[in-house]
Amino acid sequence: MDIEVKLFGQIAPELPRSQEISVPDNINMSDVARILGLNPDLIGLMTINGKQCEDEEPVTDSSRLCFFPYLSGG
Amino acid sequence: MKLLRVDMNQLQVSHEPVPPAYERLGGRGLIAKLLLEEIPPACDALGKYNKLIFAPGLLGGFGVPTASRLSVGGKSPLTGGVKEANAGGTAGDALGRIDIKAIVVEGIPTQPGLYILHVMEDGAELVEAPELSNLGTYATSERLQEKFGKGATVISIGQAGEMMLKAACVAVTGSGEQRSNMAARGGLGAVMGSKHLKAVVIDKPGRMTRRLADDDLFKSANHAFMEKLVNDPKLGPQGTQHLYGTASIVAAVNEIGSLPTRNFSSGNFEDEAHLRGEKLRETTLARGGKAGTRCMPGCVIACRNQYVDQTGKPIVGTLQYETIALMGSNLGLGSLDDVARLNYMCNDFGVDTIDTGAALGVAIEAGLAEFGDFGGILSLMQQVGDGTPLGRIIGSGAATTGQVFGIRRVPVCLGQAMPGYDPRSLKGNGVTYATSPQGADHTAGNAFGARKEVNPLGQTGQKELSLKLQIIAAMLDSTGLCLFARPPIIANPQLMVDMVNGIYGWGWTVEDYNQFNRQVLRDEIKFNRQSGITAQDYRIPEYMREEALAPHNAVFDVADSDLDTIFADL
Repeated sequence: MDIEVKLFGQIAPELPRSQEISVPDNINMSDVARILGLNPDLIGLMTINGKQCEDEEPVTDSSRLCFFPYLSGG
Repeated sequence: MKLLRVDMNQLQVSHEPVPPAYERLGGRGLIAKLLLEEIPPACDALGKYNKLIFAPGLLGGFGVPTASRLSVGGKSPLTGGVKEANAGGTAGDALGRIDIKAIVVEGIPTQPGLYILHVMEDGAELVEAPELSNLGTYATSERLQEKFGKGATVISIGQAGEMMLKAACVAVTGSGEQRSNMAARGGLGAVMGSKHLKAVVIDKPGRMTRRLADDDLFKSANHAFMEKLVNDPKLGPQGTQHLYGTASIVAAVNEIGSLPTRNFSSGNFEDEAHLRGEKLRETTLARGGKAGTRCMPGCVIACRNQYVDQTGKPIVGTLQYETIALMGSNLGLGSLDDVARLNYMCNDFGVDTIDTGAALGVAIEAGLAEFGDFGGILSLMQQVGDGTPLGRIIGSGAATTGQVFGIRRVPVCLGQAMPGYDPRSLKGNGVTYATSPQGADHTAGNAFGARKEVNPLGQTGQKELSLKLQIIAAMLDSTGLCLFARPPIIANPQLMVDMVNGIYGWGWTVEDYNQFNRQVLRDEIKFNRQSGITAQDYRIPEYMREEALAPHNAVFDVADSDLDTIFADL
């Protein structure tokens, strides 16, 4: 399936900030992070289609995934 | 330690030993207790019975990294209840070093006049300063530092405070370019103006001479705390706050659909990419500005910036998330340059960017300008400083502006404007806005970024999350600690207990610390109740329960019964 992935802040600066990629079916957020080679220790917040989620969240076709660093409102 | 009492009626100052009831309090906790003990809760916030308090937290002046914030407090003319607003800068450190637990400004002069309070290491005096009348905070602090020395700290109000506008704030100077650290919320600048006090000048203190109860305990805990901050990838020199500042959250808040847009009518802003922390850093560095500067002595997070124009000329000492949200997306402006210009004016006139940004959004909805029309918005903003009737309305905040122009969509709780998180898509913050004795205030308990606890769009667990965060916020605001430095203390409260015991020798346990934090809220709730604030005042505006917010079509649907019982087991 095809998904859109966006990366923010200091997460994997060597990768494009926004890209469309093809991934296998039946995977979750942490699988996508692994496929992209993201350092899980730097991921502070994740969303799928604008909804906050956790590692185990299933990824569906045509989803928009965002990986943010640790953030604190101020 | 001592209290510095300033009697504006008799124009006298005096030092007194700290009364026993206040001895083990600092910052926000001291303010709540002092208001309960010393002022009639139902008094006029701009009248002679209200008191204005400046108090460092318990750690202020001892060189603990990121722990020198200054709390400013009194009864709020905006909410009608207790108010504490805190600011970075050098004031908290300076007062702590000279052994002052609080400055308490009382009464009102019987004759017209404008004064400054000059605080020296060995005394204080009130000085008439008519020449400062109607000056902005930048000119005021510059003139006073020319007179009293570049190292002096200046706490001042601008035109808005002198006019007693309800969104008026109090500005505190910091080191270097960080001239505007704002105790922004709740109209405390108006309280200062009501007392004819234009500024407080604190001489640069000498070396710390205060004795610690247990040197070794303090040093060891302080060192451990600093190590945790520096070595934490979230907080240290590689951390998001240091690299991108508070603006680092723009994209994430937009992505979760909570970014206030066009008077809180949407949670997404189409131009948010131009307002992001990444854009702020890139622009700032490309133009010769500064990123990663600090507002307080010894801060190891350094989240500030100096935003400059296209020629490299400084505009504001720091451009922050809340200002970007309320004066950017909330006004339909997708340019950091535009936001910075409005930010400068707010700083100079001395008004809260949150309440003023919200008021401008309401004014635009009333047809006084158009969303995205910088020229029109600039003209409205200029009127605040000029003191025109319309400017005074906007400078009195969103609630007043909505009332005057008959607008129903007014994003306030307890009369105070909501900060940069629409509560329909971040319901934990909605619970905090509705229930905090401080009114709508993200720093009273910010649920943004909380993970594995609650779904920001759901109803379950919001009350419990908000309560937990409100108790932590009470601790931060009473010790002088910046909220960005909270992770090590939350992970290990014994660090805070050891620092406090090392300084004061109180023999605190973690349970004492827990009760100390909770007591702050208990005192504030009691004060508000005695002020006449009822459960019906602790509410999210009705339209936010009825009008769905894009993109998630969310309404605020946490039950009133949850709001009413949040403090049941406090």
